[in-house]
Amino acid sequence: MELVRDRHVKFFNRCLKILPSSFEELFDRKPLVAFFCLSGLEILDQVPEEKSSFIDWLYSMQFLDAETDTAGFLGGFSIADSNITEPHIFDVPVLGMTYTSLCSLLILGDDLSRVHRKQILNDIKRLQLEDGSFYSQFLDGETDLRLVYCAVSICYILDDFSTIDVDACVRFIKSCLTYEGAVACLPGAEAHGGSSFCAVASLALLGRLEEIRDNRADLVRWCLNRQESGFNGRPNKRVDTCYSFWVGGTLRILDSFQFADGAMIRDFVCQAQSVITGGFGKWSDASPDPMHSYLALAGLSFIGKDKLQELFVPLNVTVRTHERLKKIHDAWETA
Amino acid sequence: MSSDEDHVLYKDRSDWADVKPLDIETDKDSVINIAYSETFRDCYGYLRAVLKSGELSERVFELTTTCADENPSCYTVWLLRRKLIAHLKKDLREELDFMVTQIQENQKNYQVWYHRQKMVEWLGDPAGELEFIRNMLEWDAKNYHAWQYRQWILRKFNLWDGELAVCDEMLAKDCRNNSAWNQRYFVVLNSTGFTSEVMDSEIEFTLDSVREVNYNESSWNYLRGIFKHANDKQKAHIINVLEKEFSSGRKSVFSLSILLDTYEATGQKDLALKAAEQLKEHDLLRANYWDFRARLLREE
Repeated sequence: MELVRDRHVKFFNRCLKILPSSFEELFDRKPLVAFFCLSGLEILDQVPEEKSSFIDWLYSMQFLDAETDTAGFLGGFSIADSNITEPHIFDVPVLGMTYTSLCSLLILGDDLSRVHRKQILNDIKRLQLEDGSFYSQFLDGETDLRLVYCAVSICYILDDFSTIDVDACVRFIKSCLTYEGAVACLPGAEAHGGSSFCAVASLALLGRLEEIRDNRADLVRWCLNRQESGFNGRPNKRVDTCYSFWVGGTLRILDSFQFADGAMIRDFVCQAQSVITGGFGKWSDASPDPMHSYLALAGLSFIGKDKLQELFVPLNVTVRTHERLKKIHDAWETA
Repeated sequence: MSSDEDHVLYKDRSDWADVKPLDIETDKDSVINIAYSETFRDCYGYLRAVLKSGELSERVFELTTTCADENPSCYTVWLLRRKLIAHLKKDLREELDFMVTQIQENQKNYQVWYHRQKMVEWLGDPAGELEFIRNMLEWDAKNYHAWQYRQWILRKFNLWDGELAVCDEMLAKDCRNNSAWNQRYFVVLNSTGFTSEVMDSEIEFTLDSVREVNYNESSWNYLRGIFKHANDKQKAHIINVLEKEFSSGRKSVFSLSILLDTYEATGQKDLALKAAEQLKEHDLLRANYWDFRARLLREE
């Protein structure tokens, strides 16, 4: 089955304009949707020509709290309002929104010059718990490996790990390793494809992959065992297109994706594309959504059959976007 | 979703006439517009208004119920609701009742589980929680949020007694339930620990399970996991059982991969190589990997 590229381009562009009411729960996490769509278009080499309106829109959600000297990106304007003079206590940036907003800005070719770097790093610092993990937002919120990955990615993008306790963070990641050889969302919980990615990618970004040297063979075996046709996320669970990225990406970071059966993954993922509307669902016949569409394509990029832009996997952006980031880092260094 | 016909929009409610809603669609929404339903737009418009005014009242509490029904993923709704619960000194047990339906309708939602956890934390009393989670596991025995919350309850309130029996029961129902195997490991580790005595029974339990259903990654992973807690005698026993199975012609890929790793770790290169070759033959999907492992062994 062929990849219906043009349909997918249309799907992502359509989602960037309007979503049906079935997606209304995403109204306070628009930067997340924007990232899936823009990064999907970037993998397809079809990022919109007109970039400034997206860039300005993203920056308009950047929130600066002068009193605490912290900053971050909000999830939209529907609840919070970054322009009000007295910040409301519910105007709090959420880690996932800051991470995805920064990635989108990079994809759009922005130089991050308007990003409140110091203040965002201050925010990350106050979100870190003693055990090394991170809150999703300042007031209260969940804390698990997803948030560790977001925090580490943000520090990586801003080229500064000095405000967080990296050793504690690494200890937390390692405490989530399970007897199965892979990584759970929290210590004691069940090993999972998504959290395994968050763990391995975070360690890669921190330059600390050697910390799990002794677990590497088990992790590779566990990940390879996730393949049935596509990948599932846990033993004895159904395969799902999103794991072609989470599990495939973990294998890529561990230099072991070549041991998976790429042709079978590709078949499974392509069966899950909606040939009429574009986009991908969880599996064949499931209705498409921006997240599965992006992760399915990202997973396909590992196989190398579909002329897709190559990914720098740990940060979940393309290699060329990552190279642009490195140039920005160089400029910051010499400034 | 409160699509029921009785729902009166807030704009049509006399007790809300003094509040001017703030439309959730603003002129800054140039990207990703959402075709909101009328109910959604209505209640969140009022939510936005009270967030700005800072009103903390019974009617705002009721509003958060509607907003949660319409969109249980909204962080802000739950943050505000918790603030109101504290401020109005709401009955936490009533809130737990409310969360039963919320969780039943949104089983895979992070925020609803977190809110329930917060309520129990405030109550300081886990009465009924294990039973509630157990009921949720009847709907979906592998619900990650339910298990994660169950672990929090067990640890926080030290409720280990009887939990291994729950694992037994769930595994008897479905021995392929990987979450239940994981829970088993979690319970043993945090209660008795993997003492030599406990290990004897865990090894037999697991070997019985793989004898019954052989192609089951979950049980084999458990065996692999507890293997490192085994003493030399127990290790030899496990290997002996697996080898017997191997030579009897029953070629389980999971069992073979345990043998491969054990042989490799103990320097039995020829046996390891043989296991890798067998895996290459029987586990076709991963043949490349087992071939790589065999090559590594030959190159040593």
